[in-house]
Amino acid sequence: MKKRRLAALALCVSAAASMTACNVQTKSDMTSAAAAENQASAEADPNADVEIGEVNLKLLYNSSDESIANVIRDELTKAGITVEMSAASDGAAFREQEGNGNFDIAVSSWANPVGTPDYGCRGIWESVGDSNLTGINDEKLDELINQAAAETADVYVETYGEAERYVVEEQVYMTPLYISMTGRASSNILNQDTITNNQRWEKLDYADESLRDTRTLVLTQTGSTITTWDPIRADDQSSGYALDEMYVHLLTLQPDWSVSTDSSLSYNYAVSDDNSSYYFILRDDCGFARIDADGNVYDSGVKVAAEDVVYSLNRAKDPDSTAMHKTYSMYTNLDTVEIVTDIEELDSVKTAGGTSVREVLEADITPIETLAATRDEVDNAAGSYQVVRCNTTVPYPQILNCLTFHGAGIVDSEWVEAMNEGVDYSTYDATKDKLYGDSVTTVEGATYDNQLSLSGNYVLTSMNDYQMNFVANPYLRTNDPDCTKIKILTDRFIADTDTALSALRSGEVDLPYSIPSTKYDVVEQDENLNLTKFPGIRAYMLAFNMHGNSIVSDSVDLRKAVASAIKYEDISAVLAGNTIECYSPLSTCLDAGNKLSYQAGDTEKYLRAYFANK
Amino acid sequence: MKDKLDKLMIRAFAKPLYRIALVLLGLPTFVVAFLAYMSRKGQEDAGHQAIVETARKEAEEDGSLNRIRENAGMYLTNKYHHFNKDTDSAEFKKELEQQIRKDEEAEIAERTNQIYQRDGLKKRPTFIEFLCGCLNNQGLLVLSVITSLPMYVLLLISANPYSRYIFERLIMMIFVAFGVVFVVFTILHFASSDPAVNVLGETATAQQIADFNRVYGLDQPYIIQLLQNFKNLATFNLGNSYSGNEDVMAAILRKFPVTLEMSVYAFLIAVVISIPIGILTAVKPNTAFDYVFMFIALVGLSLPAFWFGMLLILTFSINNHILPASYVEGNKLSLLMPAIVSGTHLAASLARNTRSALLEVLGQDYIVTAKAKGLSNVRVIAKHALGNALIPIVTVAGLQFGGSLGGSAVIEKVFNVKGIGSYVVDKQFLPDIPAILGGVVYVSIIISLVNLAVDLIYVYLDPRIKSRLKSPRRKKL
Repeated sequence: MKKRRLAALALCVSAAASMTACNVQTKSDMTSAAAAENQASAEADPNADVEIGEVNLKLLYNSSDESIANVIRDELTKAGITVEMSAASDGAAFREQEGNGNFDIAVSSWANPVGTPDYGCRGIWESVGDSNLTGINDEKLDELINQAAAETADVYVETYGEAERYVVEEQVYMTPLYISMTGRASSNILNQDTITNNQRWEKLDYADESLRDTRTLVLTQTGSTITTWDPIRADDQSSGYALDEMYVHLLTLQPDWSVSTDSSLSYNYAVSDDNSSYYFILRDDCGFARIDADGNVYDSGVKVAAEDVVYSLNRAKDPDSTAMHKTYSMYTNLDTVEIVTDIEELDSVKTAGGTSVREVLEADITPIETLAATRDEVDNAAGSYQVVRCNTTVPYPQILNCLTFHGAGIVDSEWVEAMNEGVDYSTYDATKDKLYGDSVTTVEGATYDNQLSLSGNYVLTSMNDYQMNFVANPYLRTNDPDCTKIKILTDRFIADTDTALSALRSGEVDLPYSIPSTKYDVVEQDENLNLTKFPGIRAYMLAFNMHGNSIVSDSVDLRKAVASAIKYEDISAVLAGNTIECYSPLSTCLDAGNKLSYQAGDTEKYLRAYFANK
Repeated sequence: MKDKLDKLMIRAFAKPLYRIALVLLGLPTFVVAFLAYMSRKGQEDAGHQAIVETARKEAEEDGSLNRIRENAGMYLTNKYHHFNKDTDSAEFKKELEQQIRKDEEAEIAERTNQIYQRDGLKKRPTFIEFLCGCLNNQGLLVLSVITSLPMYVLLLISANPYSRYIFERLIMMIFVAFGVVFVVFTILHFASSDPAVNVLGETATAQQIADFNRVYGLDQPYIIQLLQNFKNLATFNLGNSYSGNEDVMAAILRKFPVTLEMSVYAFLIAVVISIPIGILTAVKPNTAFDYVFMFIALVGLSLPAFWFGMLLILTFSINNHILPASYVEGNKLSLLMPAIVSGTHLAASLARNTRSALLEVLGQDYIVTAKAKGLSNVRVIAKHALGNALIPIVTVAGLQFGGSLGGSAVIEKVFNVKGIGSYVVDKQFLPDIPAILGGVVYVSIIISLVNLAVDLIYVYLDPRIKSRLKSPRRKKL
């Protein structure tokens, strides 16, 4: 018995000896090695002796962003920061908590559907921004935003670059998380080259072009509650996409966020050299389409003219021009909209390129002979045009992007005015007052009384709980018959993205609005389907409480410590790689070349600095 | 005919709630009759008082009242002794006085009645008797029917035990609807969510939020909003939804047909599958057959609806292109898969219920008797066993049918059916208060109606319940 014990002891001793002899690096070895390597930088750190104490932060997030919040919590915990999770049940609850400063850090996001950097940052960064809920109040930032807004694209990249550097790395009001990647799945029946990022329906085409007139294209969208078809009263996602197609605009937005006159009411546009006047020369081949009691489209006989443009844009910018106006905040910089009747003005005003406005407007069309004041006098073939000038209160080139937004859709001025007559907007009663565009009039059944007068690419003939039915507008750009490719279109309401994917796979749908990001591989494996990935328009940020009631409000070091602890790779991994690295909310539409410059060990350094100054 | 009306009137007037309803519905008749009654009451009261005085005098004279006083004193003294209480106390005196007064009054009332009878005097009528008397006049009756028709309708309803039962249940339903509105509105009102912000989105300005709140009355105090909702309910106008601004009533009526259709199909599928399986497994309990089917039923119960739905879609729509993956309006085939998913769940629990109900009945003595009589197995089961086992089966089936009429949000979502369930769930997250109130009121009414139907089916299934319903003493089921 004793012998056996001795043998076991000997075995243990020899095992221990062999383990120490092996050259295995243990954790303590590593730490000391890293410490040695970083010695140089540690020496440069004046706070190297400061002891890091306890830091508790409250992380606010919308419950739908839980997976991201979990990653952030884990990363901060690893960095020695204790995180208290605070989930808001919905958008309203999140906004309320954020606005009240009931957080230290928050997973917030901002979508930029118009693609202008100004829209991408003003609302959340400006001291008086409508959606500035994190309490940023910085004069220098306000100045930068206003300066950049007055600049043209080639110049503003630098200004916005400075602004985002200031926000993200100098003051650290927020730190970037990611931009989501949108995957658009579609059936092979569509010509894949026509599928783009901010999809416009008129660009879509079938692989087999002979189907254009006969086959119904089936799209889907998630939202089905549509309040109105009046472009300035609608802002919800449910109707926004359709509205873009139902009313013509002065300009349209391209997939790369630039503006163009493709599928628009203008032949050309020109910007004055002081960036305050914007000229549009209008086409005379666009008419308003209306729908009869049986749902058939007929020609109203009314041409879309400068009078309608002036009416529509003045309406878009005036908060009192209708009840429950939803889009005016986008046009606060729009000052006047007028019909230009003095042809001299076009010669005298120069563009930034040095040429006259007239030269720019006349490019590729019959030269301007006269400028018509009213719609009756217009005859483009004979050189009689209508030109509209929009003036901005301050130089603001990004107004062009705002003019592509559905709020700036051109409505039938006399028709809308007649329908809204007699309604007092200040005492509007949603249950009794009838306004132009009330969606209930387009719903099939007893209430059907489609009184829309539409200038856009597609005409909504009717809708029900399941779908909206559209036909291409036959009176739009009659000199350009191919301006819409597919003539009949149905937009189905499918809220559940899994269901939309099932419908696509079973061939009932051609192009769903979105499918679950976890199912991209299913589409990729299906030979009848295609997947195209695009950068999304929503940027996710980790925002710091700048209301002054949090420990992060007062310490830029603490904010930097948190910011440097966040690793994009971890977030991307949680979201199955369907993300894009970003620098600021501006990254959805602009690349100023900024990159985060945090190094390994920065978190500790900044935490020390925080405790040193505490 | 008139006797029947009098009886109905007197019986209905005896019940407090009916009395209020009668007075309210027949206000003109009651006002006129009451005034006439009061004017006659003065004279009659004087005559009555004289008779009472006579009765008192007679009672005093023949020593009845003295005897009453003595008896009362003796009785109370005995009682106090028994409980070891003091008979000289003020309490004793007070109680004695009360007892004497009560007994005296009873005696005098008795004697008064005797005098009325002895002298052949007409008894002083109660108000309702007086009213019935007035209505003996044909002219007055016609006038009263014209001016107070609702009251006579109510009397007519109360005449038949079935119609009275249904009527009472429907009245209760109204209270349930108001109660539901009160509870749901209160919870939503004090919940932290702000509909304006959720509807208008993240870009909403303060002005837009204020406008929204004004237009939809959300800036009003709680009590005003609650009363507004009660008013909406009372006028059958549930208001407009916050998102979409559509008439909630119209929206619910639009969504009801598809929910009803789906529920009926699901229910039919469930009944066709589950009842035979339930019977067979009960007849052959603890056999392999029983185990296999009950296991399948258990699987059916535990299958998550969304998963089963997706499985069906994958098989029948994506792989084989037999059925549409999502609901298409007007295409009945596209309702088949949602009905199967919903029906499977119903069938599973219905089969288990049928089995257990039938098993219990099969153990009863009368089944043995029926078998001993030499009846065939089929006859015993179909007539004697199943008939008596139906009550629990109908109960479960009714509850489930009512539940599925309330919408099954999950199944509706999977198949993109825009029914009641997904409507309420979608609106819940805003919260779109008018739409949610409309939805829950609808559900409460549907459930009440289905329960009422089930209760009425009981009556036909079980003669005992029928007789209880008809008996005046036990009017409740």
